[in-house]
Amino acid sequence: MDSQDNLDRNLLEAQEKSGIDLRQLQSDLIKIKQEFYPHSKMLSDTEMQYLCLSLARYSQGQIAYYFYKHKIPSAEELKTCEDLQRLTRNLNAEMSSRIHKYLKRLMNMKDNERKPSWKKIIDFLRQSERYKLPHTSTVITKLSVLIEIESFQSIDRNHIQQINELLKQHGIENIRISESI
Amino acid sequence: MKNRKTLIIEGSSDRLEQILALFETGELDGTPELKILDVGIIATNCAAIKPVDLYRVWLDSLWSKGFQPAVRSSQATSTNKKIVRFQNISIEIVMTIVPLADLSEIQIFLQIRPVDGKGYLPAGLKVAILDELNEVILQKSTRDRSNLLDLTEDGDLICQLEDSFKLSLMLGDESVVESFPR
Repeated sequence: MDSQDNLDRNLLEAQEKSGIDLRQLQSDLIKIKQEFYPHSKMLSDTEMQYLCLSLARYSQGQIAYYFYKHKIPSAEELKTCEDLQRLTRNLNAEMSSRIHKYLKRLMNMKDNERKPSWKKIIDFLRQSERYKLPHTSTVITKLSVLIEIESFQSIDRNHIQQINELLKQHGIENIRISESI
Repeated sequence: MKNRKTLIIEGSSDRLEQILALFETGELDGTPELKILDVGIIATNCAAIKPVDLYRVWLDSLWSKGFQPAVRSSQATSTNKKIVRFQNISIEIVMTIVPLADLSEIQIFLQIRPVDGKGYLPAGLKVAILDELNEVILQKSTRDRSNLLDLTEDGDLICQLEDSFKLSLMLGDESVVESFPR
């Protein structure tokens, strides 16, 4: 279980990066949680850590690794984590029935609607005077994408082209994909 | 045997956010041959922040509250007035706002006078400025044949972005409260 220091540190980081009042959000999510689980008195450490790390825009893989090894991984550690897919899948499944359920209720979404992205969640919270804090806005300039193929072949331009085609199917064009050094 | 690689995607911030959202919501996980295990942010820039023009914020607020220009103002200051009606008499609030320094502060000059400055204010009119906690920070009253109450003659009233105050006017049993800037 993470120490209170880690939780406080993650909470401050999330608050600073997202511009969201985490204490107010935590208080409101506890009330929503009690609608589903009447005996609950607070968000669990796992729920809080997941919320803070997500609002600080760590990736799903980074957060899953964090719960596994209690640290945010380097790119190399993430790449070589054999259980990454299983860890991420399990975390997503668990949090879908917890934090994401509470957030959907807060955002007046139906329980069976697809969970919103963290950008959408943050934008929703920032629009509310209840949660908004002064912050410096940032824009994303680069993403990293960890891909895996089950093959003895090395990953090459064909695979990059596949990613391009996949993104085009979702209406995303005019991007540049390169291999990391 | 599995083979993994990290790719870098660059593009407009909107497109990158879109890619991230697709992955987070489970709509982008690859193909049967190529799995996308993780998508993360590796570089950001601070967005250009437009400084708040506090003078403009106050001007817009005063006009939305029914204040009207009192005199021909320069670009540097604005004097606005609003009539406040009591049962038997009306008076005028006259507020001049002056931007200071880097647009992050304004100085406010606040006066109460008879409508159009003609005649006298009613005796026993009590005017107070209250802070955000409704504490009185300044209070003045009229006597017989007062034709002006200058609330800011004794000190500076300077406001920053998050500052607000209320103006309370009481005459007998009647009271009117105006909040500023909203």
